[in-house]
Amino acid sequence: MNEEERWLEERLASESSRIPLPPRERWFPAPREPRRIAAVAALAASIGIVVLALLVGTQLRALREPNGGAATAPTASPARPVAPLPEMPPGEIRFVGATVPSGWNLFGDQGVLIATPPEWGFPRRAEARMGPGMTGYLGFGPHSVWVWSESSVDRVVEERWVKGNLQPLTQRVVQNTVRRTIELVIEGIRWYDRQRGTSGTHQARHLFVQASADVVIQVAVTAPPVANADAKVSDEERRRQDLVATLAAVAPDSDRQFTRAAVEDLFRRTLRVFRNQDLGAGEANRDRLSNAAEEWVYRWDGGGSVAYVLTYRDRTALLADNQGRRQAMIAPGPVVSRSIGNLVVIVATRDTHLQYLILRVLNELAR
Amino acid sequence: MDRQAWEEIYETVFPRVFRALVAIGARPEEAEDALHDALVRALDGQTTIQRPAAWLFVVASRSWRRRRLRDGIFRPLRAFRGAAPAPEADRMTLLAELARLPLRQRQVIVLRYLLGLSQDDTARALGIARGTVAATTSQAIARLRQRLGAGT
Repeated sequence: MNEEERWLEERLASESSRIPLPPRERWFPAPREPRRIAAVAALAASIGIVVLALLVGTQLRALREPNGGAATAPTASPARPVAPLPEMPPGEIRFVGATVPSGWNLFGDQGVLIATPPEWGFPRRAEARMGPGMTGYLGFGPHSVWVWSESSVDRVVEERWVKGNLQPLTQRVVQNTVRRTIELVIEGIRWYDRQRGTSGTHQARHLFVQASADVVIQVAVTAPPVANADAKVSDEERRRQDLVATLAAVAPDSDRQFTRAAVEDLFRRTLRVFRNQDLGAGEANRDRLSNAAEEWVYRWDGGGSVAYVLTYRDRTALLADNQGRRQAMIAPGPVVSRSIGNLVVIVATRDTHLQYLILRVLNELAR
Repeated sequence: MDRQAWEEIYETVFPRVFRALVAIGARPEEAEDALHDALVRALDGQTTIQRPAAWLFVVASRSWRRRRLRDGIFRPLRAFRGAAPAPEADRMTLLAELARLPLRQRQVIVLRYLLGLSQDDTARALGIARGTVAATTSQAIARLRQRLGAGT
Protein backbone atom coordinates (compact mmCIF):
# COMPACT_ATOMS: atom_id res chain seq x y z
CA MET A 1 0.00 0.00 0.00
CA ASN A 2 1.48 3.35 -1.00
CA GLU A 3 1.30 6.62 0.91
CA GLU A 4 -1.83 7.86 -0.82
CA GLU A 5 -3.65 4.64 -0.11
CA ARG A 6 -2.60 4.72 3.54
CA TRP A 7 -3.89 8.30 3.78
CA LEU A 8 -7.18 7.27 2.26
CA GLU A 9 -7.56 4.21 4.47
CA GLU A 10 -6.84 6.10 7.68
CA ARG A 11 -9.06 9.00 6.81
CA LEU A 12 -11.89 6.71 5.70
CA ALA A 13 -11.63 4.68 8.90
CA SER A 14 -11.61 7.83 11.01
CA GLU A 15 -14.62 9.45 9.36
CA SER A 16 -16.69 6.30 9.02
CA SER A 17 -16.20 5.47 12.70
CA ARG A 18 -18.22 8.61 13.46
CA ILE A 19 -21.23 7.27 11.57
CA PRO A 20 -23.64 6.31 14.36
CA LEU A 21 -24.85 2.73 14.38
CA PRO A 22 -28.54 1.92 14.83
CA PRO A 23 -29.62 0.45 18.19
CA ARG A 24 -28.59 -3.16 18.58
CA GLU A 25 -32.17 -4.45 18.47
CA ARG A 26 -32.55 -3.06 14.95
CA TRP A 27 -29.60 -4.91 13.49
CA PHE A 28 -31.68 -7.96 12.69
CA PRO A 29 -34.94 -7.86 10.76
CA ALA A 30 -37.89 -8.05 13.12
CA PRO A 31 -39.94 -10.04 13.56
CA ARG A 32 -37.81 -13.04 12.67
CA GLU A 33 -39.12 -15.25 9.96
CA PRO A 34 -39.61 -18.89 10.95
CA ARG A 35 -39.28 -20.18 7.43
CA ARG A 36 -37.97 -19.05 4.10
CA ILE A 37 -40.53 -18.85 1.41
CA ALA A 38 -41.50 -18.30 -2.19
CA ALA A 39 -43.01 -14.86 -2.36
CA VAL A 40 -44.49 -15.26 -5.79
CA ALA A 41 -46.81 -18.11 -4.96
CA ALA A 42 -47.92 -16.47 -1.75
CA LEU A 43 -48.64 -13.22 -3.52
CA ALA A 44 -50.65 -14.93 -6.19
CA ALA A 45 -52.77 -16.43 -3.43
CA SER A 46 -53.30 -13.00 -1.90
CA ILE A 47 -54.80 -11.66 -5.09
CA GLY A 48 -57.24 -14.53 -5.08
CA ILE A 49 -58.64 -13.70 -1.65
CA VAL A 50 -62.39 -14.02 -1.47
CA VAL A 51 -64.28 -10.74 -1.46
CA LEU A 52 -65.76 -9.68 1.86
CA ALA A 53 -68.25 -6.88 1.92
CA LEU A 54 -66.84 -4.23 4.19
CA LEU A 55 -68.31 -0.77 4.11
CA VAL A 56 -71.70 -0.11 2.61
CA GLY A 57 -71.81 3.52 1.54
CA THR A 58 -74.86 4.21 -0.51
CA GLN A 59 -73.86 7.82 -0.99
CA LEU A 60 -70.62 6.79 -2.65
CA ARG A 61 -72.43 4.70 -5.19
CA ALA A 62 -73.23 7.95 -6.85
CA LEU A 63 -69.56 8.14 -7.71
CA ARG A 64 -70.23 5.48 -10.29
CA GLU A 65 -72.19 8.03 -12.30
CA PRO A 66 -70.89 7.22 -15.77
CA ASN A 67 -70.66 10.74 -17.19
CA GLY A 68 -69.64 12.72 -14.14
CA GLY A 69 -65.99 13.21 -15.01
CA ALA A 70 -63.80 14.24 -17.83
CA ALA A 71 -62.70 10.71 -18.59
CA THR A 72 -65.41 9.15 -20.64
CA ALA A 73 -63.84 6.04 -22.07
CA PRO A 74 -66.18 3.08 -21.93
CA THR A 75 -65.95 0.97 -18.80
CA ALA A 76 -66.60 -2.72 -18.36
CA SER A 77 -68.12 -2.01 -14.96
CA PRO A 78 -71.90 -2.24 -14.96
CA ALA A 79 -73.65 1.11 -14.72
CA ARG A 80 -75.39 1.89 -11.42
CA PRO A 81 -78.33 4.20 -10.76
CA VAL A 82 -77.24 7.82 -10.58
CA ALA A 83 -77.72 9.46 -7.20
CA PRO A 84 -76.72 12.81 -5.74
CA LEU A 85 -73.59 12.96 -3.63
CA PRO A 86 -74.39 13.85 -0.05
CA GLU A 87 -71.86 15.43 2.28
CA MET A 88 -69.58 12.98 4.03
CA PRO A 89 -69.25 13.88 7.71
CA PRO A 90 -65.85 15.58 7.84
CA GLY A 91 -63.23 13.50 9.54
CA GLU A 92 -65.44 10.50 10.18
CA ILE A 93 -63.69 7.27 9.28
CA ARG A 94 -65.23 3.90 10.00
CA PHE A 95 -63.74 0.47 9.43
CA VAL A 96 -65.94 -2.60 9.95
CA GLY A 97 -68.46 -0.38 11.69
CA ALA A 98 -65.96 0.84 14.28
CA THR A 99 -64.69 4.39 14.44
CA VAL A 100 -61.06 4.93 13.53
CA PRO A 101 -59.47 7.37 16.00
CA SER A 102 -58.51 10.75 14.67
CA GLY A 103 -54.97 10.93 13.31
CA TRP A 104 -54.61 7.23 12.63
CA ASN A 105 -53.09 6.12 9.35
CA LEU A 106 -54.99 3.97 6.87
CA PHE A 107 -53.55 1.37 4.56
CA GLY A 108 -55.30 -0.64 1.91
CA ASP A 109 -52.85 -3.17 0.60
CA GLN A 110 -51.62 -6.74 0.97
CA GLY A 111 -55.28 -7.65 0.46
CA VAL A 112 -56.40 -6.03 3.72
CA LEU A 113 -57.59 -2.73 5.13
CA ILE A 114 -55.62 -1.64 8.19
CA ALA A 115 -55.77 1.40 10.46
CA THR A 116 -52.77 2.06 12.70
CA PRO A 117 -51.89 4.64 15.34
CA PRO A 118 -49.57 7.49 14.32
CA GLU A 119 -47.01 6.22 16.86
CA TRP A 120 -46.46 3.19 14.64
CA GLY A 121 -45.35 5.32 11.69
CA PHE A 122 -45.52 4.18 8.09
CA PRO A 123 -45.01 0.53 7.23
CA ARG A 124 -42.37 -1.42 5.39
CA ARG A 125 -43.94 -3.91 3.03
CA ALA A 126 -42.28 -7.29 2.90
CA GLU A 127 -40.57 -8.31 -0.27
CA ALA A 128 -38.68 -11.46 0.61
CA ARG A 129 -40.06 -12.73 3.87
CA MET A 130 -43.26 -14.34 2.68
CA GLY A 131 -44.01 -17.74 4.17
CA PRO A 132 -46.21 -20.69 3.21
CA GLY A 133 -49.77 -19.45 3.55
CA MET A 134 -48.56 -15.96 4.32
CA THR A 135 -49.79 -13.47 1.78
CA GLY A 136 -48.85 -10.11 3.21
CA TYR A 137 -46.69 -8.30 5.72
CA LEU A 138 -46.58 -4.73 6.94
CA GLY A 139 -43.75 -3.95 9.35
CA PHE A 140 -44.06 -1.00 11.74
CA GLY A 141 -40.71 -1.11 13.52
CA PRO A 142 -41.15 -3.55 16.41
CA HIS A 143 -44.81 -4.06 15.51
CA SER A 144 -46.23 -5.82 12.47
CA VAL A 145 -49.32 -6.98 10.62
CA TRP A 146 -49.23 -10.38 8.94
CA VAL A 147 -51.82 -11.72 6.50
CA TRP A 148 -52.37 -15.46 6.24
CA SER A 149 -54.42 -17.36 3.69
CA GLU A 150 -55.91 -19.81 6.16
CA SER A 151 -59.34 -21.06 7.14
CA SER A 152 -58.75 -20.91 10.88
CA VAL A 153 -56.65 -19.06 13.42
CA ASP A 154 -55.74 -22.37 15.01
CA ARG A 155 -54.09 -23.55 11.82
CA VAL A 156 -51.97 -20.41 11.60
CA VAL A 157 -50.96 -20.61 15.25
CA GLU A 158 -50.35 -24.32 15.48
CA GLU A 159 -49.12 -25.35 12.06
CA ARG A 160 -47.67 -22.37 10.28
CA TRP A 161 -46.39 -19.98 12.82
CA VAL A 162 -45.38 -21.37 16.20
CA LYS A 163 -45.74 -25.14 15.79
CA GLY A 164 -48.20 -25.29 18.66
CA ASN A 165 -45.80 -24.36 21.41
CA LEU A 166 -47.89 -21.43 22.60
CA GLN A 167 -51.27 -21.20 24.25
CA PRO A 168 -53.96 -19.43 22.27
CA LEU A 169 -56.61 -17.68 24.37
CA THR A 170 -59.87 -16.20 23.24
CA GLN A 171 -61.00 -12.71 24.01
CA ARG A 172 -63.38 -10.13 22.67
CA VAL A 173 -62.50 -6.56 21.96
CA VAL A 174 -65.34 -4.09 22.06
CA GLN A 175 -65.52 -0.63 20.59
CA ASN A 176 -68.87 1.11 20.50
CA THR A 177 -71.19 -1.69 19.48
CA VAL A 178 -68.56 -3.66 17.59
CA ARG A 179 -67.51 -7.04 18.94
CA ARG A 180 -64.95 -9.28 17.28
CA THR A 181 -63.50 -12.57 18.27
CA ILE A 182 -59.77 -12.24 18.55
CA GLU A 183 -57.27 -14.92 19.51
CA LEU A 184 -54.41 -13.90 21.75
CA VAL A 185 -50.98 -15.47 21.98
CA ILE A 186 -48.36 -14.23 24.43
CA GLU A 187 -44.75 -15.01 23.66
CA GLY A 188 -41.62 -14.44 25.71
CA ILE A 189 -38.53 -13.70 23.62
CA ARG A 190 -35.06 -14.13 25.07
CA TRP A 191 -32.43 -11.72 23.84
CA TYR A 192 -28.73 -11.22 24.41
CA ASP A 193 -26.58 -8.21 23.54
CA ARG A 194 -23.08 -9.49 23.07
CA GLN A 195 -21.52 -6.05 22.86
CA ARG A 196 -22.95 -4.74 26.10
CA GLY A 197 -23.10 -8.12 27.85
CA THR A 198 -26.76 -7.58 28.76
CA SER A 199 -29.70 -9.90 28.32
CA GLY A 200 -33.33 -10.30 29.25
CA THR A 201 -36.71 -11.28 27.89
CA HIS A 202 -39.29 -9.15 26.21
CA GLN A 203 -42.89 -9.89 25.50
CA ALA A 204 -44.47 -10.27 22.08
CA ARG A 205 -48.24 -10.06 22.03
CA HIS A 206 -49.96 -11.52 18.97
CA LEU A 207 -53.61 -11.01 18.11
CA PHE A 208 -55.29 -13.12 15.41
CA VAL A 209 -58.52 -12.18 13.64
CA GLN A 210 -60.44 -14.41 11.26
CA ALA A 211 -61.17 -11.61 8.80
CA SER A 212 -62.95 -13.77 6.22
CA ALA A 213 -63.55 -17.44 5.50
CA ASP A 214 -59.98 -17.90 4.36
CA VAL A 215 -58.03 -14.90 5.61
CA VAL A 216 -56.45 -14.57 9.03
CA ILE A 217 -54.88 -11.26 10.04
CA GLN A 218 -52.21 -11.25 12.74
CA VAL A 219 -51.29 -8.09 14.62
CA ALA A 220 -48.05 -8.42 16.58
CA VAL A 221 -46.68 -5.99 19.14
CA THR A 222 -43.34 -6.36 20.86
CA ALA A 223 -42.22 -4.70 24.09
CA PRO A 224 -38.90 -2.86 23.86
CA PRO A 225 -36.11 -4.95 25.42
CA VAL A 226 -34.87 -3.77 28.83
CA ALA A 227 -31.53 -5.00 30.18
CA ASN A 228 -31.82 -7.68 32.87
CA ALA A 229 -35.61 -7.43 32.90
CA ASP A 230 -38.71 -9.21 31.69
CA ALA A 231 -40.24 -6.39 29.64
CA LYS A 232 -44.01 -6.45 29.07
CA VAL A 233 -46.13 -4.70 26.47
CA SER A 234 -47.51 -1.56 28.07
CA ASP A 235 -51.24 -1.14 28.75
CA GLU A 236 -51.38 1.74 26.30
CA GLU A 237 -49.73 -0.30 23.54
CA ARG A 238 -52.10 -3.18 24.27
CA ARG A 239 -55.11 -0.89 23.85
CA ARG A 240 -53.74 0.38 20.55
CA GLN A 241 -53.05 -3.16 19.35
CA ASP A 242 -56.55 -4.30 20.37
CA LEU A 243 -58.04 -1.56 18.25
CA VAL A 244 -55.79 -2.26 15.26
CA ALA A 245 -56.94 -5.89 15.36
CA THR A 246 -60.58 -4.87 15.80
CA LEU A 247 -60.44 -2.61 12.74
CA ALA A 248 -58.54 -5.03 10.47
CA ALA A 249 -60.55 -6.29 7.49
CA VAL A 250 -60.18 -7.90 4.11
CA ALA A 251 -60.06 -5.48 1.17
CA PRO A 252 -62.78 -6.27 -1.34
CA ASP A 253 -61.48 -7.62 -4.63
CA SER A 254 -63.20 -8.54 -7.86
CA ASP A 255 -62.63 -10.82 -10.81
CA ARG A 256 -64.35 -8.39 -13.17
CA GLN A 257 -62.68 -6.36 -15.91
CA PHE A 258 -62.25 -2.60 -15.43
CA THR A 259 -60.88 0.25 -17.50
CA ARG A 260 -58.57 3.02 -16.36
CA ALA A 261 -61.25 5.50 -17.31
CA ALA A 262 -63.60 3.98 -14.74
CA VAL A 263 -61.10 4.55 -11.94
CA GLU A 264 -60.14 7.97 -13.24
CA ASP A 265 -63.79 8.96 -13.29
CA LEU A 266 -64.26 7.85 -9.69
CA PHE A 267 -61.19 9.69 -8.50
CA ARG A 268 -62.05 12.82 -10.42
CA ARG A 269 -65.52 13.06 -8.92
CA THR A 270 -64.31 12.17 -5.45
CA LEU A 271 -61.77 14.97 -5.55
CA ARG A 272 -64.20 17.44 -7.06
CA VAL A 273 -67.03 16.76 -4.63
CA PHE A 274 -65.13 16.21 -1.39
CA ARG A 275 -62.07 18.38 -1.89
CA ASN A 276 -63.00 20.79 -4.68
CA GLN A 277 -59.77 19.83 -6.40
CA ASP A 278 -58.98 18.85 -9.95
CA LEU A 279 -57.40 15.49 -10.62
CA GLY A 280 -55.61 16.79 -13.70
CA ALA A 281 -55.34 15.10 -17.05
CA GLY A 282 -52.85 12.45 -16.06
CA GLU A 283 -50.10 11.11 -18.27
CA ALA A 284 -48.45 7.89 -19.24
CA ASN A 285 -46.01 6.87 -16.53
CA ARG A 286 -42.48 7.10 -17.92
CA ASP A 287 -40.82 5.44 -14.90
CA ARG A 288 -42.51 2.14 -15.50
CA LEU A 289 -43.45 -0.03 -12.53
CA SER A 290 -44.12 -2.94 -14.84
CA ASN A 291 -43.77 -3.77 -18.49
CA ALA A 292 -46.95 -5.82 -18.53
CA ALA A 293 -49.47 -3.08 -17.87
CA GLU A 294 -50.60 0.25 -19.26
CA GLU A 295 -49.58 2.78 -16.60
CA TRP A 296 -51.09 6.18 -16.01
CA VAL A 297 -50.05 8.69 -13.36
CA TYR A 298 -52.07 11.58 -11.91
CA ARG A 299 -50.83 14.35 -9.65
CA TRP A 300 -52.85 16.87 -7.69
CA ASP A 301 -52.56 19.00 -4.57
CA GLY A 302 -49.59 20.82 -6.09
CA GLY A 303 -47.85 17.56 -6.81
CA GLY A 304 -48.05 16.46 -3.16
CA SER A 305 -50.45 13.63 -3.97
CA VAL A 306 -50.03 11.05 -6.66
CA ALA A 307 -52.03 8.15 -8.07
CA TYR A 308 -50.91 5.37 -10.37
CA VAL A 309 -53.34 3.18 -12.27
CA LEU A 310 -51.90 0.01 -13.79
CA THR A 311 -54.29 -1.59 -16.26
CA TYR A 312 -53.60 -5.17 -17.28
CA ARG A 313 -55.06 -6.91 -20.29
CA ASP A 314 -57.03 -9.12 -17.92
CA ARG A 315 -56.83 -10.53 -14.44
CA THR A 316 -54.72 -13.45 -15.59
CA ALA A 317 -52.08 -11.03 -16.88
CA LEU A 318 -52.11 -9.20 -13.56
CA LEU A 319 -51.68 -12.40 -11.60
CA ALA A 320 -48.81 -13.41 -13.86
CA ASP A 321 -46.98 -10.11 -13.41
CA ASN A 322 -44.97 -10.39 -10.25
CA GLN A 323 -42.93 -7.31 -11.06
CA GLY A 324 -45.77 -4.81 -11.07
CA ARG A 325 -47.54 -6.16 -8.03
CA ARG A 326 -44.33 -6.39 -6.05
CA GLN A 327 -43.52 -2.78 -6.90
CA ALA A 328 -46.94 -1.81 -5.67
CA MET A 329 -46.46 -3.80 -2.49
CA ILE A 330 -43.29 -2.18 -1.37
CA ALA A 331 -44.21 1.39 -2.16
CA PRO A 332 -43.05 3.48 0.79
CA GLY A 333 -45.04 5.82 2.97
CA PRO A 334 -48.75 6.55 3.33
CA VAL A 335 -49.89 4.62 0.32
CA VAL A 336 -53.12 2.91 -0.60
CA SER A 337 -52.14 0.08 -2.91
CA ARG A 338 -55.04 -2.00 -4.12
CA SER A 339 -55.44 -4.78 -6.61
CA ILE A 340 -58.96 -5.00 -8.04
CA GLY A 341 -59.89 -7.16 -11.00
CA ASN A 342 -57.37 -6.38 -13.73
CA LEU A 343 -56.20 -3.14 -12.05
CA VAL A 344 -53.51 -2.17 -9.59
CA VAL A 345 -54.26 1.23 -8.08
CA ILE A 346 -51.68 3.06 -6.00
CA VAL A 347 -52.61 6.31 -4.29
CA ALA A 348 -50.23 8.30 -2.12
CA THR A 349 -51.50 11.32 -0.25
CA ARG A 350 -51.05 12.88 3.18
CA ASP A 351 -54.78 13.57 3.38
CA THR A 352 -55.89 10.63 5.53
CA HIS A 353 -59.59 11.30 5.08
CA LEU A 354 -59.16 11.42 1.33
CA GLN A 355 -57.37 8.07 1.53
CA TYR A 356 -60.42 6.77 3.35
CA LEU A 357 -62.75 8.10 0.67
CA ILE A 358 -60.60 6.50 -2.02
CA LEU A 359 -60.61 3.19 -0.18
CA ARG A 360 -64.39 3.39 -0.07
CA VAL A 361 -64.81 4.18 -3.75
CA LEU A 362 -62.42 1.36 -4.61
CA ASN A 363 -64.45 -0.94 -2.38
CA GLU A 364 -67.55 0.15 -4.26
CA LEU A 365 -65.80 -0.51 -7.56
CA ALA A 366 -64.94 -4.00 -6.41
CA ARG A 367 -68.54 -4.86 -5.48
CA MET B 1 -23.08 -22.29 6.75
CA ASP B 2 -25.99 -22.79 9.16
CA ARG B 3 -28.35 -20.11 10.36
CA GLN B 4 -26.72 -19.60 13.74
CA ALA B 5 -23.26 -19.26 12.24
CA TRP B 6 -24.58 -16.74 9.76
CA GLU B 7 -26.27 -14.70 12.44
CA GLU B 8 -23.08 -14.60 14.48
CA ILE B 9 -21.04 -13.48 11.48
CA TYR B 10 -23.67 -10.91 10.57
CA GLU B 11 -23.58 -9.48 14.07
CA THR B 12 -19.80 -9.21 13.89
CA VAL B 13 -19.62 -7.50 10.51
CA PHE B 14 -22.77 -5.38 10.84
CA PRO B 15 -21.01 -2.18 12.03
CA ARG B 16 -18.44 -2.26 9.23
CA VAL B 17 -20.90 -3.08 6.46
CA PHE B 18 -23.51 -0.64 7.78
CA ARG B 19 -20.94 2.18 7.77
CA ALA B 20 -19.70 1.12 4.35
CA LEU B 21 -23.22 1.46 2.97
CA VAL B 22 -23.66 4.89 4.53
CA ALA B 23 -20.25 5.84 3.15
CA ILE B 24 -21.37 5.11 -0.40
CA GLY B 25 -24.45 7.29 0.07
CA ALA B 26 -27.20 5.26 1.74
CA ARG B 27 -29.20 6.93 4.46
CA PRO B 28 -28.95 5.08 7.78
CA GLU B 29 -32.48 3.69 7.57
CA GLU B 30 -31.84 2.62 3.97
CA ALA B 31 -28.63 0.87 5.03
CA GLU B 32 -30.56 -0.98 7.76
CA ASP B 33 -33.23 -2.14 5.33
CA ALA B 34 -30.66 -3.17 2.75
CA LEU B 35 -28.69 -5.18 5.30
CA HIS B 36 -31.87 -6.89 6.45
CA ASP B 37 -32.57 -7.86 2.85
CA ALA B 38 -29.04 -9.20 2.47
CA LEU B 39 -29.30 -11.24 5.66
CA VAL B 40 -32.59 -12.77 4.56
CA ARG B 41 -30.91 -13.76 1.31
CA ALA B 42 -27.91 -15.17 3.14
CA LEU B 43 -30.13 -17.26 5.40
CA ASP B 44 -31.81 -18.66 2.35
CA GLY B 45 -28.71 -20.85 2.03
CA GLN B 46 -28.75 -21.01 -1.75
CA THR B 47 -25.45 -19.23 -2.19
CA THR B 48 -21.92 -20.23 -1.26
CA ILE B 49 -20.34 -17.23 0.41
CA GLN B 50 -16.58 -16.84 0.78
CA ARG B 51 -16.23 -13.37 2.28
CA PRO B 52 -19.33 -12.52 4.26
CA ALA B 53 -18.64 -8.81 4.80
CA ALA B 54 -17.97 -8.19 1.11
CA TRP B 55 -20.89 -10.36 0.06
CA LEU B 56 -23.28 -8.57 2.44
CA PHE B 57 -22.03 -5.20 1.21
CA VAL B 58 -22.49 -6.03 -2.46
CA VAL B 59 -25.92 -7.62 -2.00
CA ALA B 60 -27.07 -4.85 0.33
CA SER B 61 -25.84 -2.11 -1.99
CA ARG B 62 -27.81 -3.68 -4.86
CA SER B 63 -30.88 -3.84 -2.68
CA TRP B 64 -30.36 -0.22 -1.64
CA ARG B 65 -30.15 0.91 -5.28
CA ARG B 66 -33.33 -0.97 -6.17
CA ARG B 67 -35.15 0.66 -3.29
CA ARG B 68 -33.77 4.07 -4.28
CA LEU B 69 -35.11 3.61 -7.76
CA ARG B 70 -38.54 2.79 -6.43
CA ASP B 71 -38.43 5.65 -3.96
CA GLY B 72 -37.76 7.98 -6.85
CA ILE B 73 -41.14 7.10 -8.22
CA PHE B 74 -42.74 8.34 -5.03
CA ARG B 75 -40.62 11.47 -4.73
CA PRO B 76 -43.61 13.72 -4.01
CA LEU B 77 -44.02 11.90 -0.69
CA ARG B 78 -40.48 12.33 0.49
CA ALA B 79 -41.26 15.45 2.48
CA PHE B 80 -43.60 13.69 4.86
CA ARG B 81 -42.15 10.23 4.96
CA GLY B 82 -40.37 10.95 8.23
CA ALA B 83 -37.05 9.62 7.05
CA ALA B 84 -33.98 10.33 9.14
CA PRO B 85 -31.64 12.95 7.75
CA ALA B 86 -28.48 11.94 5.95
CA PRO B 87 -25.27 11.98 8.01
CA GLU B 88 -23.70 15.38 8.47
CA ALA B 89 -21.51 15.21 5.44
CA ASP B 90 -20.07 18.66 5.93
CA ARG B 91 -18.32 17.46 9.05
CA MET B 92 -17.04 14.36 7.24
CA THR B 93 -15.11 15.85 4.40
CA LEU B 94 -13.81 12.70 2.79
CA LEU B 95 -17.20 11.00 2.97
CA ALA B 96 -18.84 14.07 1.46
CA GLU B 97 -16.41 14.01 -1.46
CA LEU B 98 -16.74 10.26 -1.76
CA ALA B 99 -20.48 10.70 -2.18
CA ARG B 100 -19.84 12.83 -5.27
CA LEU B 101 -18.00 10.04 -7.08
CA PRO B 102 -19.75 7.59 -9.43
CA LEU B 103 -21.23 4.59 -7.63
CA ARG B 104 -18.68 2.13 -9.03
CA GLN B 105 -15.79 4.23 -7.72
CA ARG B 106 -17.47 4.54 -4.31
CA GLN B 107 -17.98 0.77 -4.14
CA VAL B 108 -14.40 0.05 -5.06
CA ILE B 109 -12.97 2.54 -2.57
CA VAL B 110 -15.16 1.24 0.25
CA LEU B 111 -14.44 -2.42 -0.50
CA ARG B 112 -10.72 -1.80 -0.76
CA TYR B 113 -10.07 0.65 2.07
CA LEU B 114 -12.96 0.27 4.50
CA LEU B 115 -13.68 -3.44 4.24
CA GLY B 116 -10.03 -4.24 3.52
CA LEU B 117 -10.39 -6.39 0.40
CA SER B 118 -7.52 -6.98 -1.99
CA GLN B 119 -7.81 -5.97 -5.64
CA ASP B 120 -8.54 -9.57 -6.60
CA ASP B 121 -11.24 -9.97 -3.96
CA THR B 122 -12.79 -6.63 -4.87
CA ALA B 123 -12.89 -7.68 -8.51
CA ARG B 124 -14.56 -10.97 -7.59
CA ALA B 125 -17.07 -9.29 -5.25
CA LEU B 126 -18.17 -6.79 -7.89
CA GLY B 127 -17.88 -9.18 -10.81
CA ILE B 128 -15.43 -6.98 -12.71
CA ALA B 129 -11.86 -7.40 -13.96
CA ARG B 130 -8.88 -6.83 -11.70
CA GLY B 131 -7.56 -4.22 -14.08
CA THR B 132 -10.84 -2.33 -13.84
CA VAL B 133 -10.52 -2.30 -10.06
CA ALA B 134 -7.00 -0.90 -10.31
CA ALA B 135 -7.98 1.77 -12.81
CA THR B 136 -11.14 2.72 -10.90
CA THR B 137 -9.20 2.96 -7.64
CA SER B 138 -6.57 5.13 -9.20
CA GLN B 139 -9.13 7.48 -10.77
CA ALA B 140 -11.11 7.73 -7.54
CA ILE B 141 -8.08 8.50 -5.40
CA ALA B 142 -6.91 11.12 -7.89
CA ARG B 143 -10.30 12.83 -7.80
CA LEU B 144 -10.49 12.73 -4.03
CA ARG B 145 -6.99 14.15 -3.75
CA GLN B 146 -7.81 16.87 -6.22
CA ARG B 147 -11.00 17.88 -4.45
CA LEU B 148 -9.66 17.67 -0.93
CA GLY B 149 -6.36 19.26 -1.72
CA ALA B 150 -2.93 17.76 -1.30
CA GLY B 151 -2.48 19.03 2.23
CA THR B 152 -5.49 17.33 3.84
